[in-house]
Amino acid sequence: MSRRWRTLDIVTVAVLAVVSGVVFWAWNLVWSATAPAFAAFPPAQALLYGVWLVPGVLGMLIVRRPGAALATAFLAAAVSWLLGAWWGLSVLWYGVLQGLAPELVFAARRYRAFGKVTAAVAGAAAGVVPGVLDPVFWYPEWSAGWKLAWLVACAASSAVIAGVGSHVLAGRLARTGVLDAFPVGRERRAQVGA
Amino acid sequence: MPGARQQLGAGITACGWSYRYPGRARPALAEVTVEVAPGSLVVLIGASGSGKSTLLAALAGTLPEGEATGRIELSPTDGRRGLVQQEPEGNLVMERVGDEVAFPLENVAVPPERIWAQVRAALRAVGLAVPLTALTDRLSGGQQQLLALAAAQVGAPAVLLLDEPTANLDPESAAAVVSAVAAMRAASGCTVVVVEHRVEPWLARADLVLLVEAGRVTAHAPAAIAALLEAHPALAARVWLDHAHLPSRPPRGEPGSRVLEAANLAVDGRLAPTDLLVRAGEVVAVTGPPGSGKSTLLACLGGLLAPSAGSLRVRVGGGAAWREAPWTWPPASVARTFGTVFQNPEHQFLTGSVRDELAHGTSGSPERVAALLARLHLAGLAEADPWTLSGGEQRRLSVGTALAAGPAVLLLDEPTFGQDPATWAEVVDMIAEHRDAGGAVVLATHDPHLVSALGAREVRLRGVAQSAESTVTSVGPGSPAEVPLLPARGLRSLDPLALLAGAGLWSLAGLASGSVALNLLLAALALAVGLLGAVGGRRVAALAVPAVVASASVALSNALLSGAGLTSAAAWQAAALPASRVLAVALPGLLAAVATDPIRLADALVARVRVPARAAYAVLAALRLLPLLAEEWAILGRASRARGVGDRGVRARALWFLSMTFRLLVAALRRGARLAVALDVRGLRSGQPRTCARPVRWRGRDTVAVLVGGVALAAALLGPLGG
Repeated sequence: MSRRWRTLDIVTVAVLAVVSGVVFWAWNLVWSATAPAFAAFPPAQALLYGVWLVPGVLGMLIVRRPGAALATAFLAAAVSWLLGAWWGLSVLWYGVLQGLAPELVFAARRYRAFGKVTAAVAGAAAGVVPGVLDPVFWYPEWSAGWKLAWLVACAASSAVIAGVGSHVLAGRLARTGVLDAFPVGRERRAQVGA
Repeated sequence: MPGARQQLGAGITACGWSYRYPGRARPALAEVTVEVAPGSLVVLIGASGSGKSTLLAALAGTLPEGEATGRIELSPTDGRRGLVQQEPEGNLVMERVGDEVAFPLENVAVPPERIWAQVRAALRAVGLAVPLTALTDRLSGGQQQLLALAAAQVGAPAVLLLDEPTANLDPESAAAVVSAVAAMRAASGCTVVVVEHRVEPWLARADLVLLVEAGRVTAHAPAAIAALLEAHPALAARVWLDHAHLPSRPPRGEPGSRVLEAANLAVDGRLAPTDLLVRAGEVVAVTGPPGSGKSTLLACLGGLLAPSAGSLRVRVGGGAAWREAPWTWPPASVARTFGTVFQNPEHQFLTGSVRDELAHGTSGSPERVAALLARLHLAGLAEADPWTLSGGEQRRLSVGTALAAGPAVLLLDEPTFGQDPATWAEVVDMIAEHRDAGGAVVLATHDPHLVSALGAREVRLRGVAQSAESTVTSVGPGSPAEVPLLPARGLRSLDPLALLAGAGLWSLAGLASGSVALNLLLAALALAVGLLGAVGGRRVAALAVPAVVASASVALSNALLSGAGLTSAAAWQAAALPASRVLAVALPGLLAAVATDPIRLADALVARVRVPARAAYAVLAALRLLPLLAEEWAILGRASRARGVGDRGVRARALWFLSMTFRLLVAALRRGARLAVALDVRGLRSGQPRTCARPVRWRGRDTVAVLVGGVALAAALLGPLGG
């Protein structure tokens, strides 16, 4: 597989980031609307966190070029920033780290493994970032137990939603033919024998 | 380029050329041998999937790396290409008109002082009189295609490739595009290759017709095309030559009782107050210029969009009671009463197979689904993914899904747009069948033949009085070389990198600070800078409110969760630091976001940080999709409602969210693919000399902006108030 980025790869990474920005906007509403349901044990809300970590993993599963996870996560964060995310520029630093974590997982597999397990591990790695940073910056008053619960919930949610979820999503997108110019689309085509 | 007018078009030579897409078993085109003289106008015809697009992509140089034998080339080989694609907005890569046309010139390193005169000349040549600072997504589809032509022309192409450039346009706009192309040929002598279902307006000027059939290409004289179509009935069903053989399905009897009554329906800025009465067994055709609110009216009638004024009542069956305001009904009830066909069929697909699409509306009755599959001629494609169908198949399926539930009212938005004669006739038949069975039909259309074939009653919308903001009409004189910049004052006049660096350091100071007082001071100063920096009081307030809400929510959750109880002062003291941190971190970044012009940021990143031009401008082009996708999200929401998706309950809401996200992704990836082609064709490459038409300057005020951020960070790290 070529490691050189085509214009299509750059645009696709950016398009995934833009869609993430739009979806995040909707997910922010879901997050606020569901907050009361977690009043008894707030760290459990981190189970919904995985949605924010989808871009890095999904970007890599589709584009499969070195840097794709980092680029998609960073651009998704930049789009949220442009849309006026509450957290201002701090989303950019989160974006870099949340992209770097899954990027390292894919790099460790030499950019050759894009299966469900690798995706899940990459998702979990992305989830560790907010799992550690959020309690430090935003919830310093929580007890150590709650902070740990938050970390575990973030990682688990990300492994399932951002990891396995992205893998399923990439496969489903490939079925529609929109990924025919990418390896994941061609694999799909080879399977159905078209 | 100066001297472009004397330049001749490129010749095209193909000699035994075959091409196979990566991962495909069979070649898309085989043994193509063709000779096209420089300056010719070539019309490419053939059924969908025959290989027309492959041939065009080969000429454009945008084919993926597949397996090729033989040769296909332009002479001279370094001849530039221009391309106009079918979807108007898929052709555009920039936010503003002037930047769109300047972009191909920048990519071949035309000196900036010469760029704007050429941009103005190119816009004049295609007859597009809009200001250079006009937003490209505010233009009509016809204006967008003219703009794409201007962007193609400015690069002085030796060959101009047109991929169904008028398929999505109303007749007047289509005629404007055809005559702009003719003017371009006359001025520059470029070779033109056009793919189009509606060949009529092109044939009179054509020098050569290339017939693409099952991967083979044959050349014919334009005069021979009528005989050619007669010899190939299958092809005649795919190519519009004249309108003589179209079916006619006038109503058989008088319309029945009233089904739908709208009074003074209006939507702010999009639909002027409109009255409409629809009876059972009749077809009402809503016509009017682009932007007159046809789609908006249909959405209101179908219970998908709440109007800002007016009333609507619906009665299904002569004796039944009238029901008011369908936009307040639950989605399932909307889907039973109305069948809505969207302009883009892909918006309304919900499932992974043609069979499931039809079953979704029929509560699963296998006999009904089988009958529909046969009626739509889709039985052989029952298990195919709806997104993989051809345009005509998608159109038939979308009408089928709307009819599946047996709705009383059928609403169709431009059902014949871009369709070939065969699909056109199918759509007319399906509409007529529904009408003759006693159904009511409202359709929005630009197609006069559709109106007459159905004997439809025409209702013409006049359009809302357009505000100066929403239309783009006149163009000021301006000196030819003048740079068309938006007025920039205060923060907006800063170099974008300076602004970002200053705001970034400022918000780092918020993260680093351990002092509530310093955080509040940083936040207040950021607001003051926004007010003084000409960002506008209302924008600043709009930024401050969510930041304050976020801060309050962080305060509450920390106080709640510290375990000390909400009444204890200690809990709130502890919560004050993270809460004030939110304000100090968020506000500077939000201000910077509002005051940043994305294209100037891309310019600065390329000029100063050496970001590769291809990365910067490809990302910039994709960002332009943001407002379009927000609009697409709204349309998808309406399409979900039309198909009965989105009832209350956690499970239903979750499914709705997943389905919306998935469909948005598909639509976005499709747009992305077109965008990538448009960027490649405009000559965007990395590692070659490139100029920038907008000045990139670093001034004293920019240094000050960075220093201010630095001082804030230093204060947080070292100062007496710091932690």
